[in-house]
Amino acid sequence: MLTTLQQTLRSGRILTIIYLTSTVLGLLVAIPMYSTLTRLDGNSLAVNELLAGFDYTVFQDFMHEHGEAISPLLSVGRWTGVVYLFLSIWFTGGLLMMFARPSAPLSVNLFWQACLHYVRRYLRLFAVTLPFLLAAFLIPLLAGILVAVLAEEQFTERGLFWLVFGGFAVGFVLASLVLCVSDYAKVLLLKEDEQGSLRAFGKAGRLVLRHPLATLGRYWALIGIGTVLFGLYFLLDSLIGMDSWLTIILMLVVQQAFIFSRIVLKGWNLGIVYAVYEQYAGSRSEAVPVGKPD
Amino acid sequence: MFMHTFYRLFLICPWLLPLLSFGQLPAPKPIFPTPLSPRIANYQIKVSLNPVTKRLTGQQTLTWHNTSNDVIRELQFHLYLNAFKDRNSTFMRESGGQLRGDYIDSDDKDAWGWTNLKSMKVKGGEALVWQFIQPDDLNTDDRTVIRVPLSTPLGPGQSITLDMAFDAKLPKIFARTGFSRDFFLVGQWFPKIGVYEPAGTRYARQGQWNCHQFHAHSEFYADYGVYDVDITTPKEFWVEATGLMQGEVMHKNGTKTLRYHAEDVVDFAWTASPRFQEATSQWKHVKITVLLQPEHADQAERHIDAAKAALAYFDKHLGKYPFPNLTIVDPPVHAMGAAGMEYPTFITAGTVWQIPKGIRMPETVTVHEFGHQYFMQLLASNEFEEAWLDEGFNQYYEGRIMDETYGPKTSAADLFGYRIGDLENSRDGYVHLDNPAIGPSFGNTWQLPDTYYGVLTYSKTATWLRTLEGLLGRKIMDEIMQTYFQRWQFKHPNANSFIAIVNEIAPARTGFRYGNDMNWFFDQVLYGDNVCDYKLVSVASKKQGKQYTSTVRIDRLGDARMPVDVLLHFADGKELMLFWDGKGRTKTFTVTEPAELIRAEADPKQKLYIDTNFNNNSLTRQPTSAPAAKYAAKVLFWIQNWLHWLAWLA
Repeated sequence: MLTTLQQTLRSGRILTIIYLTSTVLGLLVAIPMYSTLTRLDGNSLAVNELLAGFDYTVFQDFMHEHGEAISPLLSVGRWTGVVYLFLSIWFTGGLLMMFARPSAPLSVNLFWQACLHYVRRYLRLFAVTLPFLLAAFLIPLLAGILVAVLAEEQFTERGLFWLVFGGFAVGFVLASLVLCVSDYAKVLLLKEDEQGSLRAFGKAGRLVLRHPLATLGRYWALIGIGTVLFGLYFLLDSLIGMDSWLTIILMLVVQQAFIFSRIVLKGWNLGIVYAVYEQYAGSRSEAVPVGKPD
Repeated sequence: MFMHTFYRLFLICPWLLPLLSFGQLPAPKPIFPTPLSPRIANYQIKVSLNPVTKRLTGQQTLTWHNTSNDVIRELQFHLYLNAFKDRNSTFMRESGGQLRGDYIDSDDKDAWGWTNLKSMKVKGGEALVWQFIQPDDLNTDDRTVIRVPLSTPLGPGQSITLDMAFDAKLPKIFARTGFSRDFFLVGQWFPKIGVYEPAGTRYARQGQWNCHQFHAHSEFYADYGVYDVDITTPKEFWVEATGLMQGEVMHKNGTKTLRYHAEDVVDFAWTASPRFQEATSQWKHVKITVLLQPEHADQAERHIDAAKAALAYFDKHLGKYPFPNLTIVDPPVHAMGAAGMEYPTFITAGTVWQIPKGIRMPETVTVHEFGHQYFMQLLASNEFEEAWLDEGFNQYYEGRIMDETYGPKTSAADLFGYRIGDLENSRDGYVHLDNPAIGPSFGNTWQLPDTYYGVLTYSKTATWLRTLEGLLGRKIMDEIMQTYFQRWQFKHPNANSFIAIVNEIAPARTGFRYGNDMNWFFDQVLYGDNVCDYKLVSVASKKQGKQYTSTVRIDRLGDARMPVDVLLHFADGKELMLFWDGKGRTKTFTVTEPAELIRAEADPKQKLYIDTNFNNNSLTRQPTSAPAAKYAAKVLFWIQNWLHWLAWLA
């Protein structure tokens, strides 16, 4: 696992490209938010209360007065998500190419070529994955809720909670399984030059189910690391606070470091998937050369 | 079925019970050596609960005293449970079958409830007949009020004793009372006499019955009295009720009878369930009993601590709670329609399993419902006509107690950095209405603007009471409230009762700062729908020679006229407090000082809590964009997170 982490970290420029892409999209909301807040606070002293922490009255008075100016910005945030989802599909080929050519850091030029070359395959794979993902998560969750509603009189509050939570937990596990399978299908599409997304998904599924610990176990380990990083962020947030320019800047650095770590985690995950695939699928061929888009 | 047969036996032949019992019920022991109240309506009730059919069978003897100088020719009674009789009652028409987040399943025959008055006769005398009346509307399908003509009028000072028999079917809980599975919250369950208001009582110009129909958003109004109630239930049921338990006897048929005695109360309610878990504690002379759902047992201390905080606060700031006990019932989550309700010495709270300590739901409900012991029970205002006198006053005190006990900005919620204070939450409910001018706090509850009963009665009243406190100061406010309590406890106060005391105390204590009376205040906030919003429009400072000439302009944006303090801060640290009567549309202050004006604040102490926007009350000439930067950074961070969450799907 550590080797793939080193491989990931060696491709600093590619990680930076991805980071900058998400940051630019984030700034599409954050910069207008900053200017809107600066303009709307009208030099009021009240907003200073928000520096020390959350103040319900100041916040509610502000939102009641200016909520209509803020909500379009949040709507932009939602749409940037759709854009970034597509960009993430686009980046997948380039990221995997980092691990297909481990001998030297991937050039930016080759990264873009790989992105372009594989984007259609990964879009098709996304179209295949999404229904499985929704079904895997929603069916157990809705089943849990349905059982809780139908059998309400037979269960205590605690029982009802565990029924719904159980549905959620099963949904989460199955959804993570689908996402893990999808990652292996990505490698398969790249390494085996497989064209059929559904077929690749099926093959990847069999691989994952044959080696759950190596595949799904590692996937969950990464989710665990991400959760720990979140915990660390909240800890730093509570320790540092954001009540002066100094701490605002400090926390901005912490926040962006955290975001960068998430990108590393994403790259690392694909690296692990690639390595595990090579180990268990017995395929050690180089990735197909990047040519014209298929 | 076996049990069912037994119930039927003793329901049909209640006189058989003593023959089948172990021991005898003791005679009630007096609670107070001298009566605290006029004790006008006194009940002796024997009631049996059949948990299978959800029916009550009752016999009651009512002794009613005519304390007026009038000759009474008829009596009027509430039959509250008939509100749940069918879709056509006034209650159901007004509520649409939905109330307080719960609803009645109108297709479920078991969900409906009613009271059937079987007989009424003068003790040792004639049988009486009655007729349904609808004093509030023309809905002849409403059967919640009856009038009972007396063939022998009742003279001043005379009493009448009536024997009554009734059956009742409890509704499935969706509005305060009824059953849910094996949990029973039995309120508004017996034929209850209305209030006869002699001329001079509240708004009565001549003697009249005040006996309103049961409305969706109204609660109750009753005279004080003594209640002796024998409650029979299956022996496995845990029972608690208004007043003090005097004793219990077990019957051979698997039932038991508990005797309760309550003095100087306006109502009587009880609960029964086989699943309660009890916790008790003592605060001075008050025994606190909490009946919890087993899954909420770990929250016993939260309820008890909140009750003790409320007891101590009211005792210190308003007056003594005279009763020796307080019972707090925690309804199951499937009976939440019964949560958050108040009866004399007996309240229902409301919580859920594993609720975090930072969400102070059980504390808030406990404090609120306990507060009704003062504003519903000890001060028996008319909740049909002036609900704000109970709910609004209580909401104001809930805010004071919660804020003092759990922190002014954290008393309602304090979780993951998200903090809400109780009183600021009340203010938020009112000032952030789309139209805060929607209506007054004053008025018959069923005639307040549709769906705004809660906010106008609770939130708006609490907010303007906090404003009154801001204008007068906490000390004077407490004096007013204590005087109001002392003067009107065990009586029926109205708006005039309170306003008269405010006008008696406030002008004298404030040096007539706000005039000879405070009627201008109540005209705007209680009877009126005026909206308060003052805005600091500009601050400027210009050097002229060695001095600075500074100007501050403040505008009145709303139609409420309130006196406003304006605080100026200068560069040399000097502060100057100015005063504006707030009546004009705009006011410009000009001052000459040796230092430059840095910032200004209108209403710096937020006395005018009813102001709809505090953020526009101040201006600084040295603004900082740090708050905007902080929240922009947070927005950036969370948008990026959102993007990377989505990236895991790709």
